[in-house]
Amino acid sequence: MRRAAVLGVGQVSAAGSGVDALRESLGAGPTPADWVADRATGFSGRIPVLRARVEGMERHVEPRVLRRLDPFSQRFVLAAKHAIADAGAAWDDSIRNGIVVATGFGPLATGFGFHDSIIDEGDGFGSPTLFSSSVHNAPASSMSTVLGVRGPSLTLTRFQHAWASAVQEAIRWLCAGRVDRVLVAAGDEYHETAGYGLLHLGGWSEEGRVSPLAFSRCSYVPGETAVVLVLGRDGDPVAPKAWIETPTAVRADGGLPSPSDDPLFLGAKGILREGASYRSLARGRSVAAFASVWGCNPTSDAMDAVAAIVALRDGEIRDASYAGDSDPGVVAWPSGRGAFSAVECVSVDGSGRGFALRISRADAGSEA
Amino acid sequence: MRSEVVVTGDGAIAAIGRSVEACMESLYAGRAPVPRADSLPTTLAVPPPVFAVAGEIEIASRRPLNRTSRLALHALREAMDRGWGGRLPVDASRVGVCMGTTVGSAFNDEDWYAAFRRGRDPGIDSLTLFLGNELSEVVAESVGADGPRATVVNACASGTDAVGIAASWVAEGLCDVAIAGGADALARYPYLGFSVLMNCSKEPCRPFDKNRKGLNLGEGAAMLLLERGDDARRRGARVLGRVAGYGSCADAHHPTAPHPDGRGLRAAIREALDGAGIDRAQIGFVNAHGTGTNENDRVEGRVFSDTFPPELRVFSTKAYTGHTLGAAGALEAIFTLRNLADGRVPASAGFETPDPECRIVPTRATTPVDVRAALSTSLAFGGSNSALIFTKGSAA
Repeated sequence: MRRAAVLGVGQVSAAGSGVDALRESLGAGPTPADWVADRATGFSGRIPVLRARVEGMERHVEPRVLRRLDPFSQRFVLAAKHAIADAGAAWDDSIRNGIVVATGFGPLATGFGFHDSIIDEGDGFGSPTLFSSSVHNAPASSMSTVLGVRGPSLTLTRFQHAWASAVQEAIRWLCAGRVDRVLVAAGDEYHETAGYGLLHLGGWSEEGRVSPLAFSRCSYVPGETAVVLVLGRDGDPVAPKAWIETPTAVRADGGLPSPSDDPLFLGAKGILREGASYRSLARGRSVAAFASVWGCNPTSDAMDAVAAIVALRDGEIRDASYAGDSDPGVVAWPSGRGAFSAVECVSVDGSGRGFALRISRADAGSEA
Repeated sequence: MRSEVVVTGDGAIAAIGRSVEACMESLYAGRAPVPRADSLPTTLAVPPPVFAVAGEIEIASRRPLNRTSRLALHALREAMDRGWGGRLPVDASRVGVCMGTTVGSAFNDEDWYAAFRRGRDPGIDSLTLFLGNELSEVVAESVGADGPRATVVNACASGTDAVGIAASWVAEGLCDVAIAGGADALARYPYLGFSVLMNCSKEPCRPFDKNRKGLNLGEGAAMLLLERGDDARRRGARVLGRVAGYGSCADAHHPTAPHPDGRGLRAAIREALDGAGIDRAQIGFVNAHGTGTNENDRVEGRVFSDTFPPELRVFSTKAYTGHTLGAAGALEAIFTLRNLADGRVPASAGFETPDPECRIVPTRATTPVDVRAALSTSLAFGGSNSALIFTKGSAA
């Protein structure tokens, strides 16, 4: 078993920013979506979007720093600031700290902003600022510069499972002694081209709410998320908030690697072609799914890890986000039930392949 | 590296050649293709020239492929044939795939987007083509690999990082063998982006030359087959060389410019040397990132000058291939391995006049070398710096 200590947690999403905001939103149930009229529908209809809320960002990130960053990178820097504050330890400018970022589409809006500048102004007059911020590794670069992270910096992309790949690399670095601490991060943002893709390739929730446990219908709502975990090695002077293990490959038709009574957090996003896989994984387990709180994107499964850490810290799982809206036979984790020492977060794609990420309580035993 | 990782197959395609042999022949002959200004459509008054791969790239595939994927699969086919006889040497679940790219990771269909902006219905073909061409998936699917996979998007260092990460997977036992590499096709998006940043030269690039004026973009792909040394010898495989060390460190300085003292590059080289367990004096030559931009070459030259003995040979191959972005690190890794095996390094094409600011004088002609170890470096947007150390292989 290879694992790392979760020293701090930060997030930015429709649930607000920071762990406390997420905790509050998890208790409040589904987050109301913004209904956006954009070119994806030719302005004839509206798309529900769970936009990231970044109110009060200036309290955490200096305005002179914010001015230099595009909104995509701003969310990562804010999430990183929250995670470091949550760790409660001084963050050194160090070559022994690293960054791993996962993203599906990178800075989508910034990239299309550069396209806009070319189309509007001509080939020779594109915006250099937008271009340099539109590379996928811009958030890693921004976090590195703002926080003085001088160790390895890696950005990974996949349209599915990028988060699992990032966690795997981060834990590998720690176990190999390459770094002392890692900011492992994930995030994606909304752009109207994504809305157009949804319009033609799968659709979205007519109610503007993800129903992740209603496996037989499409209830996708695009969302914007940025997650940062501060990971350290076993023995880090900062007390762990939880432990996170190397992700394990799973197949929906083969079940999960080991039977367990621990709650199962499903990364279900209301995508119809994934429903059968999640239904299969949920069989015989008590499950929870929270995409209605933060919405859906290629790396939104990272938010499940944050929710799991919150649940383990609080000793309870709040269930309001899926109540009364699930497939027959699905057993939701009972509200208020305690007595769990670990959470398994599972995310699969349309082919039924995916990853399980086990996160356990801070007082779980030392590594064998 | 925890255990010996060797390269047993390689494949490459770039403007300089459509196979590793063709590339090496041109490099040693000093035949740098002339980059052309008419390869990409543009309204720029003076379009910077680029290095395009000539001719079609035919790949049989059930999946519709974009140009980046076709370049990748072309190089993969060569590597698979040379190294593994065209088939996986181990169970598919033990085969890792780690790819580097930049252009291949972003949706760049300008015509589609322009129509979309005008409120027209541009259709989904372009979107589905993009979504169906995630590079590590394409490569894994084409050979049936089912082990760990990742697509690295560390800008211009992506190919170097992909090789380093895949080698680490093999060394640590995450998989038994791995396919590592990178690919990128020419596209207007980075072309116009580098142009507005004033990074593109209107002439053929001149890495490390006092009168250098910037980079030329290129396109290409490179693939390396990696496995543990013991396994390769047991199979009787031909060992092209070893991935002995890998390092990667951030500058934490600026979105596009390298740290003026090369802070991250120095640290990456140090990590690679430590991993390889060799002294800096044992590095016989460096295949530099050497883009031909003012800052990159100045910083790299200073770091090499400070770090290595004065007799170190340095060269850049960018004037043969152009800057192939996500493919560059993998392509240059193959060149470095082949240079070690062949006992010679190419002339640093485009170089004429030394620049005191760079503090190094790169190779002026194909030069014999008899060394055991060599370094390949990459610097990237976002302040990423990566270094790979290769050592000579030996016959099975």
